[in-house]
Amino acid sequence: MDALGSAATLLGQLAVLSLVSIGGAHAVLPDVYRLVVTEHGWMTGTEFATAVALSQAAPGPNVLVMTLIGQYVGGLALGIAALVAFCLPSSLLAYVAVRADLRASGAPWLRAVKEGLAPITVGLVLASGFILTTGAAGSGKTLAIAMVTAFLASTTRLNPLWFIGAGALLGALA
Amino acid sequence: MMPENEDATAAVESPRPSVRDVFLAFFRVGLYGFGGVMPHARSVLVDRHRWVTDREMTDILTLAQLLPGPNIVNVSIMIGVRFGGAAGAAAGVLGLLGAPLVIVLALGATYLEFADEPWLKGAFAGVGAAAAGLIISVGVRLAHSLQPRPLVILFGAASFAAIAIARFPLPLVVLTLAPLGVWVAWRTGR
Repeated sequence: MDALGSAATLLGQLAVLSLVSIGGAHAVLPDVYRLVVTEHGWMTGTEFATAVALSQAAPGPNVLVMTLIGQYVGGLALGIAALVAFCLPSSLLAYVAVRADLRASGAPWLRAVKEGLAPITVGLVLASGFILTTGAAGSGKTLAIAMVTAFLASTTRLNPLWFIGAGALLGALA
Repeated sequence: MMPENEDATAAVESPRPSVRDVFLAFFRVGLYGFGGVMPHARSVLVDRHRWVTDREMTDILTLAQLLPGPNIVNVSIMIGVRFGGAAGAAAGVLGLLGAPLVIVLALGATYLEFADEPWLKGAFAGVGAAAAGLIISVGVRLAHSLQPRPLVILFGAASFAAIAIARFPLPLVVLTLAPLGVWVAWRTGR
């Protein structure tokens, strides 16, 4: 596939995923992974996981992982375009929702939406962690890093940067 | 197109923030948000500026989480619309994402420069594994906030299995499970 075709495929997919991304950027990572790693081989599983890690180590929202993936696939312009493609559709929806004054706190339908979506969101985020772990873990060591991080980050209040730093150190030591 | 931003000394705790104030507030949120942006958003918007009360912030956050899209981007739109209409929403998003975008692009360029160095490959693999573990912990923390009722477990397990095991596309999973989950919650909640 030529560069322009790759870019169009990535941007189109991100725009579609934007509208179903309950749970935010984390929830769509399995689908992005499938597109750029499994189907097209634009990145390896480890490179994909590294992009996720860099976005978590950098200041700002996690959604910037889309920029890193776009940049890896097609350079600086695609990095910026990927962020726009993923943010714009959901942002327009949020704009319409807030204009329509959907806040109505305590409304019964809002409670039903909240309770109905919450467990689905949890499942999507856990699935994302699972896919990334299996995709990034090329060895027993990386699998161990992922599992220990998952446990400690769930049970302590340590800043995520500590885990990223420890992962880099443990990964570098062969 | 960037909103006007020549003066960084915007009034703090102004009762009616301008579009520029919105831009600057979210600029701050975006830059300080190491390892999770939302706590900073609350401290900047509720504690520092007093633009919204704690209760209003919780309402905004609830809706931001229910809508698709990154939660903090949705928050920036809701706050921005409130104080500056469409221009305010744009200012909120651009303020939030502008500086981190530049930083991440620089990080990405550096990564691409060194990605093939053999001595760094191990480090990158370790970093990626840690990131995967962090996402699992986000899911675990979210799970702890739910009541472990049978239907909650059923829908959580169904969405997990549909993506992680069956590898169904996300649009299919969300458009099937979300209406079903809301309908069930509506029927059982009254």
